[in-house]
Amino acid sequence: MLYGTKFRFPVQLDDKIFPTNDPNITVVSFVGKTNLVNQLPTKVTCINDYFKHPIFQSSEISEESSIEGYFCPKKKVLFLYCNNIYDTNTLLMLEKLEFDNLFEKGFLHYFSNLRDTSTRHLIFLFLVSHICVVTNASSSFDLNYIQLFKTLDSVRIKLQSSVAEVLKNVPGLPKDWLTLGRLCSPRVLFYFEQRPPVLDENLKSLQHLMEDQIYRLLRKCRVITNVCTNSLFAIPSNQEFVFFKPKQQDRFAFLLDLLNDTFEIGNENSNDFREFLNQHIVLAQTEGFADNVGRHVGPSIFVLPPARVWFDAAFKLFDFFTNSPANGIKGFQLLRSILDVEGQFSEARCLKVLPLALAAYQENLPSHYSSQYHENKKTQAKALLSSHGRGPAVQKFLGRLDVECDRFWRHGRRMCESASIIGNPCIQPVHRILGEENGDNKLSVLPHMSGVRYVSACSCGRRQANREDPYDVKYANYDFYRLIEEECCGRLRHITFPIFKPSSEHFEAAKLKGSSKSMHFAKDVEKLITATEDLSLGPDENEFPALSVDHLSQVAADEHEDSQTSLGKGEAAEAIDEENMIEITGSTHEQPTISNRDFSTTEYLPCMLHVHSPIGILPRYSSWSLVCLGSSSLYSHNAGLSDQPGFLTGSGFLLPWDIPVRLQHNESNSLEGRRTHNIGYSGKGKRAKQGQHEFTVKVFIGVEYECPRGHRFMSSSPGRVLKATGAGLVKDSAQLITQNDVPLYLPCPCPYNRGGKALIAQLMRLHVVTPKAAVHVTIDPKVRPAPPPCPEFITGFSEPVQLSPSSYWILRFPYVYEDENQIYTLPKESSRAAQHGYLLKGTCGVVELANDRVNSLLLGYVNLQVIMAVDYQPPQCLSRPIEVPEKLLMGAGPSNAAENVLKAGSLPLLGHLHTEFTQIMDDVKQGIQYAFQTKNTLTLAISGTGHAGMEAALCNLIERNDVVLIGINGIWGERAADMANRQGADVRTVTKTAGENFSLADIEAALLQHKPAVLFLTHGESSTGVVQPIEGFGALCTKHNCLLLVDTVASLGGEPFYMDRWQVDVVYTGSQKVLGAPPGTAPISFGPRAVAKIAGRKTPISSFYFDMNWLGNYWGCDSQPRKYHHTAPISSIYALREALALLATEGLENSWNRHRSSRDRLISGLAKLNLKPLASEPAARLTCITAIQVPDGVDWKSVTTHAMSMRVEIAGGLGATAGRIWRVGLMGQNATDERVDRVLEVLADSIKSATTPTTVMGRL
Amino acid sequence: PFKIPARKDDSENSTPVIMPAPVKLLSEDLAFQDSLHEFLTDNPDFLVVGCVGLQWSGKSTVLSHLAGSNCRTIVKQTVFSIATSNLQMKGLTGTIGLDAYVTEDRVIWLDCQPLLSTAIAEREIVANYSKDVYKENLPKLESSCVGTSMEVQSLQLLSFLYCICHILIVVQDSLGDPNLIRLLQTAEMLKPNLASEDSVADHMPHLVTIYNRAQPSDLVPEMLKKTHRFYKMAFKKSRLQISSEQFSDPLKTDDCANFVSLLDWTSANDQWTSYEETIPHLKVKLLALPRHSFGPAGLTEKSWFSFAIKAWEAVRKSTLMMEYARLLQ
Repeated sequence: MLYGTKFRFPVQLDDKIFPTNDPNITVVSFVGKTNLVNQLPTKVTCINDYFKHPIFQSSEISEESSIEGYFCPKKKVLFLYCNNIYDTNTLLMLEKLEFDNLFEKGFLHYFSNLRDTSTRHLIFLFLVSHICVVTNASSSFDLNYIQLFKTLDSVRIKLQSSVAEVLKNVPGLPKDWLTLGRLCSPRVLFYFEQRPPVLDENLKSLQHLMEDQIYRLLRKCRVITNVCTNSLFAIPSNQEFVFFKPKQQDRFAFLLDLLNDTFEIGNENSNDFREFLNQHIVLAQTEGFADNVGRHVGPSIFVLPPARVWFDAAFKLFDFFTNSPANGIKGFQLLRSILDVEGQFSEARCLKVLPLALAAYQENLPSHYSSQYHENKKTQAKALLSSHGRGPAVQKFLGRLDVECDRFWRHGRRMCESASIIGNPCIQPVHRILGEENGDNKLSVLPHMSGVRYVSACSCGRRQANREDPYDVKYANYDFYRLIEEECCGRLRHITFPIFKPSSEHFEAAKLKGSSKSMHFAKDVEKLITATEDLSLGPDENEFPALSVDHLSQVAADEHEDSQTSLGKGEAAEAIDEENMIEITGSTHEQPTISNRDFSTTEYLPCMLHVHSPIGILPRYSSWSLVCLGSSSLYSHNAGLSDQPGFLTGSGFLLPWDIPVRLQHNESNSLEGRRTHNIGYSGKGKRAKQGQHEFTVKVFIGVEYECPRGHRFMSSSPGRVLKATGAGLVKDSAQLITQNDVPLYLPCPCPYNRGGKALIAQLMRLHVVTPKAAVHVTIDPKVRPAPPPCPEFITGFSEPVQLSPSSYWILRFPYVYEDENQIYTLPKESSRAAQHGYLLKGTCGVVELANDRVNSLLLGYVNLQVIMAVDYQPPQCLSRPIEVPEKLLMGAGPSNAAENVLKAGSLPLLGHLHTEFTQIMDDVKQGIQYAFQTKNTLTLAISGTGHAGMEAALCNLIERNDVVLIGINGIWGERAADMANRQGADVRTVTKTAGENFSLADIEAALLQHKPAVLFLTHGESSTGVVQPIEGFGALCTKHNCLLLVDTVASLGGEPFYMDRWQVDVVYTGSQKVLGAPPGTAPISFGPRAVAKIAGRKTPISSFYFDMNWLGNYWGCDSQPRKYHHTAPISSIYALREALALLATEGLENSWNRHRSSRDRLISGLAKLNLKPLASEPAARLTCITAIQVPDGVDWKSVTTHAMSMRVEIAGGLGATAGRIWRVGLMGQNATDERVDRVLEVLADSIKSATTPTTVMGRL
Repeated sequence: PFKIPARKDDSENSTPVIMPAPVKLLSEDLAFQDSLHEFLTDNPDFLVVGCVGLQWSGKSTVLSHLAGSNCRTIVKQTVFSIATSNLQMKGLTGTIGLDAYVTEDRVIWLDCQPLLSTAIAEREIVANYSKDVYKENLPKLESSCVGTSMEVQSLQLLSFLYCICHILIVVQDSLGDPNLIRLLQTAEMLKPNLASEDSVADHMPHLVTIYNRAQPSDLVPEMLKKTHRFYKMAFKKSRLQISSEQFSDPLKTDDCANFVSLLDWTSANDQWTSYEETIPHLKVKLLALPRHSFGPAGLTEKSWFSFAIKAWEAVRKSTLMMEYARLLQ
């Protein structure tokens, strides 16, 4: 018991701790902000410091505010300190204590609540202490303390009487204490935890400065007064009351000391504080405080209470301060209002803004409105409140605003908003529906109304009317049509669909979804059906005892009569041409009344009929309608539909449907007939059996769509809108429509868009114009209005309905579809509308019209069995045999091909990757290498003519912006320039006049000037008959880092050409010239420099077809396995192989010589005719083609025409030379003396014939 | 009342003038000054960093170190006027009013006078004494309400800084002062709405708290974690941006606030190095913080200045502020 006892309020102390003498004690409290974080708060270390002993080693925080103490009987002092939110460690801990709800209303709100408890504790401490040490966390005096002191004081004064009441109950309480309500006016000392970084020697003066400053401030703010009894506390006038914590050792080290229990009080600093505090304690214990200033003040009261009494009083006071409610006691009320200034401010502010926000909500409100509108307005109002309201109360007021707005809306402003079938909300004020028990009987009874209106045509389509947005299926599918029927199609002939006929007044909706009742029912009915098989035939129906059967039969009989009479009327009205078809009038054909007898008369189907509907239950009304407009003559295919409003232009036509049928009058077994003759196909190859009658019937079909705006259109094929040509011609037939599932919904092409989306049109009608023939068109619609599991909806007839011949029938579809689970209506998205629901194929069919029912055989559902038909007949010309005359092709090409070359082309085809064929390709490659005199690996034949070779060479060599130099001395240079230009090359040209070629000097100058990447030269310029020497140009190009591309189309085989020797980088030729193969292949070869250029390309080759990487692979030029690139022209490759074989057999040298000597023979022959070659320089003359100048006065065209009449082709000029020259080709097979002589002969003759009339005309 | 002096020449204006020393944006009597204007350009890419704190907490020192390029060289000679020992010995504070300093990287540093400062309170009292009408026993209210008027003044300065700063640094020499947090949030509550539309909420600056007198023991991870969480929670309902990506994840916790501890370099010499190292990092983070525009149209330095004039007038004339002041008395 050396040092005393630690305790925590509320405390009921053990008697043992009080020494028997019960000393009068001095009470010291520590209050204020502390900064210590990780360890003990300063308030605690102060006590430890004072006692030089670690009395408090840890501080456990379990509440936001607590008071702990240490009683030292020996020293007769009692230390108290409070732990509250002003202590950083408590503040940081709070978050742990009340994590969930902390700060939910914001810091300000929370803080004012917390301050309430801690401030009460502070008042308590000021009442029961002699000395209060106020700790400062920072280095300067915090002005908040002034506010706090003033608060404490004003509350203290308000609480005086209450405190006195509490103290009265403390036995042995000193009288002065009771009078004063406290022990004395406590002395307040200030402890600064930090200090400004000033020099140590200045600390004392800083202390004094601070004392002065604080004193002045407290006086000025009237926290302390002359008479200290009147104020919360007193400040000693002649003693130090400010203490700066000395420069401390590292607090962390301090903590370590503490943990290691090596705490020692030995350093001077802590002694300083003991000294500082002790002077006040000693004074208290000896004289008491007398801190009044001024002259007119009496003695101060100062009580040193006995320990027991103090504890008793403190316990009771603590209880009073801790547990008193804020409401009852004025002092606490005041405290609350002072502390919660922010709350009050916020509350007052929000209270002002709330009416404004409400007004914003109520501004311009319609009489009633939707929840969406309500929410929008509320959001507006809330935004206003949030923007103008301030502080923590905003949340609360937002809630209030919400409630107020809701109340306002619900009180007579609410819109009904029940969704229609289509999904539009009802715009009426909240109301009751007739017959519905709604609870709130004050509401008026109104039908739902969304205000949305649609335009719909009636069942027959001849009248359009506004349709209210439907709220029930009956209105949508039945009532609406019945209403307009009265004014329109009501009197037309209808086929009535099976519906429920009640047998008594007591009937009800069948319970669906597999309820046991309906299952039983279905079974019972089945039994009855077998028993009443021939019900309609005789009167024996009465024999059946079951009541239900009575009703059934009765109904059936009625139905029978009804239909007969109605049909009779219909016929009379429509005056159908009945010449050949009397049989059709029997009701048995059209009305499968048999189905109606099988159904319940007490229970009806509450939804629409579909394939999974329970057997034996019918709906109360039919959602379908089938009406006959009248005679088939009502429709004219030339004029289109008439009397049908709303059709889009060009869309009001039915589609013709030609059905070849074969009737089988003699077939007796219907089942067999169905099986074997389900299709009457009158194809060419099949012969009709005896006794069967074949003919084609023409039906007109129209699948009509209708959009919510009443726009209507027919469909030409599934998913397409019918559009007749301007002249009113319909090209389409009904084949596609009848053979396929037809979309139930389509985007309407009408101009009305909703938010950029097209309106969705719905398949509403099927128009059928039946033929005047011995067949019935039948219809059996099945509709699946949404993707599975949506069921397929049906009409209820067990068999397809047969339509009378030569009439115009319209089947009107339901507007919405409803099964037992849901209603199916328009899809949401117009983009996918066409894939949403379908009218399933098999709707229309044809059956034979027969004399009696037994023989009414089903011939074929033609729509299921496709009869192919084309729109355009085969061309007559193709029926004639091909005519090819034999001609001598002495023009610029193609030349005549050798017989075995042509034969090779007619060999059987092989696959383009068959090994036999790739072997041929390899042969061709070697042949080309020989022809070009090269060993280049990348050598092959392009599938295309010489132009393709040019294109392939250029597009592989050229990348965009490459400089390409083209030598132009005729048309081929021009073409190459054009192609290179299209490849994006920077095309430069060097030109020569027609009839001349380029010298090395010409080209070198151009190479120097343009620095091209590629040089193009034409070896044999066929348009001018000029040969371009190539020798030396390759080396020149290599020198100038340029690729040399040579066109040898007109020269290869006729002029010497050495690709490798002359260092030509790329060369190509055509097959149809000297090689004498059919046109269509172009041998090509790429040298190593060209291959490198292709490999180094930065951009892909612009053409896939000509991509040498692909082609090289396909032609086996790389080591990779061949891949399919394109299908080679198999037969052309055969022919090319044979042509190359001929060349190889002859030998290039022989071929060159033969061409040369033929050419020389031609030139000398021409000289005899006084004709001159264009190329004046003999060395420049091409062997294969000789250009001959047209003499003056000769019509070149007449010459060629005349020559052609002699089956010899002589070509005219080409490009620049057109009209100036003739061109005679001596290529391949044609380079023989015999043919040279022949062409000279023909030429001479032709010139003669062409010249004569000209001279005659000249003479005239 | 404030007229921006007309510029002589626009070309002269193109190169920003280097400021030799901070200028007053608000005078000692909190009147708006226009001397800053000549140092501003038409640059739209600028940053405004304000700094507040209690008396002697080291605002001007920290801000000087942040604004300066090298804090070692300027430890004695600071950009902003700090409360030197001399001033402190007189109980005075270094900065009175609002000082502004523009650095070459186009950051406008604003050094604010201390909040709830005794030194300034005394100044006020003295000013009142000097008035002829003042007699000690007559206008009791005035002097006794000095606490209130100081609070209102502090709230005005804070509201003003909320309006015109991208970043507001709160320098504290003690951790987690609830009164200071209350003051910051009350100022937020009283800030006039300068947005043109009612429904649009004003943008609030980033709030960066600097604990300026940290001891090594304060830097243990658990302690830092707690502190971060506390700030995050305390400002949970506030629109001041208390957390940001730039300041997040030093400890891999979720609840990171814009909180930085600076070792108390005054208490031990060896802590200077650590402090010196932290300052550039802090500056990088500040410069990286996303900068909001002060309105629908972005401002240039100059139009920001005009905006600041408007903001200060709005704060001074704010009815909210008056209502609140009435409740305090």
